[in-house]
Amino acid sequence: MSQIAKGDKIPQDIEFQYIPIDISQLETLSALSCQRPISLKLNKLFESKGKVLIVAVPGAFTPTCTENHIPPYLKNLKELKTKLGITNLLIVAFNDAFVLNAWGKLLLQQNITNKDEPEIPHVYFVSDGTFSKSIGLLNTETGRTQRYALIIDQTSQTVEYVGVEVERGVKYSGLDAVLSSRL
Amino acid sequence: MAIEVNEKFPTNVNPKYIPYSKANDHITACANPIDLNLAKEFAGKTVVVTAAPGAFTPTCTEQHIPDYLKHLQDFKDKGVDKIIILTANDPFVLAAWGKALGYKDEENYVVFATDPLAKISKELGESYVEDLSSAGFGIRTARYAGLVVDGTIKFLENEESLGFTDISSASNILEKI
Repeated sequence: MSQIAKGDKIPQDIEFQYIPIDISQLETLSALSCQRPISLKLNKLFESKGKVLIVAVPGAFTPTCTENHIPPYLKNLKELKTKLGITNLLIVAFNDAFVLNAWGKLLLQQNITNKDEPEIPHVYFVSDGTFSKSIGLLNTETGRTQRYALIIDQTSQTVEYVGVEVERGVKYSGLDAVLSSRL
Repeated sequence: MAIEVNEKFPTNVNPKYIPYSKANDHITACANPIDLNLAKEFAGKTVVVTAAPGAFTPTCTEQHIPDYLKHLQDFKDKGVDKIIILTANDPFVLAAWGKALGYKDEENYVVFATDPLAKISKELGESYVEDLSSAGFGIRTARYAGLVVDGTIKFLENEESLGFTDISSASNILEKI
């Protein structure tokens, strides 16, 4: 399928595999303890108002994603909610749910400073599955997720922002680009 | 066709790994992956190879690999030169996993390495790979353990149904040496 664009409706019945991370227990979470993955249905998020921000990366624990791309988002959760109305943040990668869970715990522990702040989005680290492919954002050469950011309005289920990287690095899918997007 | 004891361990596909160094000590710090030259590693050496279906998965993380890490001195005492841990995850994930499991030694006696698309395991035989595509995990390495002396397989056995039993335990391998 061709790449999804602003104004497009998001495909129905998208599911991700993930292991929930309880931010309120962040200090005690260990990257080595793991539960069984469960399913996250995107349609479930569409039952409430707000926006979902999806940030997708080619791989957990890879240099760019781990050092530059995701930390700014986690450090600025409050701004995402108050400025853009983001109520759900999904970090998506090609890796499986176990790897995403370990990576998520470590990144949250390193970057979250305001976990008790009520005005922050719910954060999920989810395994891509078929989502990126279904919206034309799978890198066909590597078989991995492209690096991109996507904002979806949960009521209308339409795409309000798409920022896809065309070169190495973080520009269109980074926090600054997302925060300055006109929704 | 499965490979058998006293045959050569395949060296046509090299695993990729990121050696541990103090400079990338933190779990989320990373360096660039390099090839582990199997032919070179095996030459004149005793090497233990053990594979697991996935980094950060419950059985591998809680039982299988910690069992090996607990017995490092025993392996050294028995003359094992290197322990290679294989999964089909990429080298970045494996490097993070190794550090998370507490193996932080610049000696890199234990190497956490990628079996690319489980190709090495497939060379060993169909029963050494597991197609977990239906669960969204793709082709994975089965759980197995082997002993390679000067490039020749002296012991190799895999677990049924990916569990962790005596078959792939450190003490079983230690007994075979």
